[in-house]
Amino acid sequence: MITSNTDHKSSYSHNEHEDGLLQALLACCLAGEEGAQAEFYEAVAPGVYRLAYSILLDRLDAEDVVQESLVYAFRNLHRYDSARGMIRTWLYTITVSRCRNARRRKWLPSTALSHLLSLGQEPSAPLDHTPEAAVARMGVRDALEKALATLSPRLREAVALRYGQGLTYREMADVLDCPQKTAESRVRLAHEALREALHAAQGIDATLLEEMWSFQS
Amino acid sequence: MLILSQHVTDLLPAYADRQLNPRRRARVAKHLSACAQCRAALTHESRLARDLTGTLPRIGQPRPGQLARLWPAIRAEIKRVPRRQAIQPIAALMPSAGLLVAALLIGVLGLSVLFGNPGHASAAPNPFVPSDIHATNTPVRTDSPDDGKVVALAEPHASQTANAYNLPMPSPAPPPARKVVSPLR
Repeated sequence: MITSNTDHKSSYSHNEHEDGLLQALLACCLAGEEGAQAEFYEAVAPGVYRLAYSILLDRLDAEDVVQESLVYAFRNLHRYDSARGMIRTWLYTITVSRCRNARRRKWLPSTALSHLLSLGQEPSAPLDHTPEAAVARMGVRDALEKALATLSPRLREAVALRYGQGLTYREMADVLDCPQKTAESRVRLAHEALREALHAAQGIDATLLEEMWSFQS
Repeated sequence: MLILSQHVTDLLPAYADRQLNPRRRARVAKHLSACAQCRAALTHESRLARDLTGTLPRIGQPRPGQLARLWPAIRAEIKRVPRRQAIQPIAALMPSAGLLVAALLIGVLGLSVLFGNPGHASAAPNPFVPSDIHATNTPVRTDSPDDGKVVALAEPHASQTANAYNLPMPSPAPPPARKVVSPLR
């Protein structure tokens, strides 16, 4: 029997434990306890910011989304229904919605023109350079960030929720307000697109890059 | 077998993520045990999934103090009563804007029907006038047929025609003036 080497069981229990803490903090916020709001903010803001940044790929826009999302969340804490999902799922639903609004406000294509024209970027490594040199020049994180920028917003949302936040496909479907099969297919399409983008950006075989990543980690 | 003949490439990312339900997972596993091509594809999918899981949480890490800097503005915003809530007590007493507009429209239409002029002018019934009066209504004569000038006489006065039918006689009026209509006009 062939099994995947990825096991998320421990992360699920961690998520449930964390949700229990957030539920307690939320109850304190609703009771009007001093300092509970600041504590709740400290607990959830980094995740909200990371998600917003992964989708928008812009620090200032991500800050705006954090502000808008959490102001809305604090004003509507009484509306959260624990029966419908974890607090993080609820917060991420708000965050994704605000990210979409931010994108509409900017009225810009999802991929910057400079990116499409490859302006202001280092030229891709010549094929005769060693792959190690390419990775040294542009770290794995940067390479992935650039590859993420080539994804459509919907695929980027899926990748950010799945791999950035560790949500299940079921939870992703709730956040993205789509069927679970749609969430699944978005992850699959994102895999394909990321492979192509990494291949194009590096000028080397994506499989080789993956191997180097495994070596680095 | 049908299952073994169909590649399961589309399901491999979900399989690598352990997100398939038991039935589909068993189906993919059965195919993988017999298909080297899909096993190789699974290796790539699993690596990519593992690398994304390891790398993506590191993307967009907030800088030290970055989020703490946002908190005062967020706290101030939460404490401020939102505009919609502030006007809620007044709004609760008033009907919604849509209903208000509809009521106004109905009122205006009702008033116009009751007191106003009709929206379109209906033609007033024509008084009975015998057709031979109409026939002599605009007497026209040609002074000189060669130059094409048509001389139309002014409207005949009622006294010239109506008395033949015993209609009430209007007061006498001055003789009708002659109108010259140019053919160029």
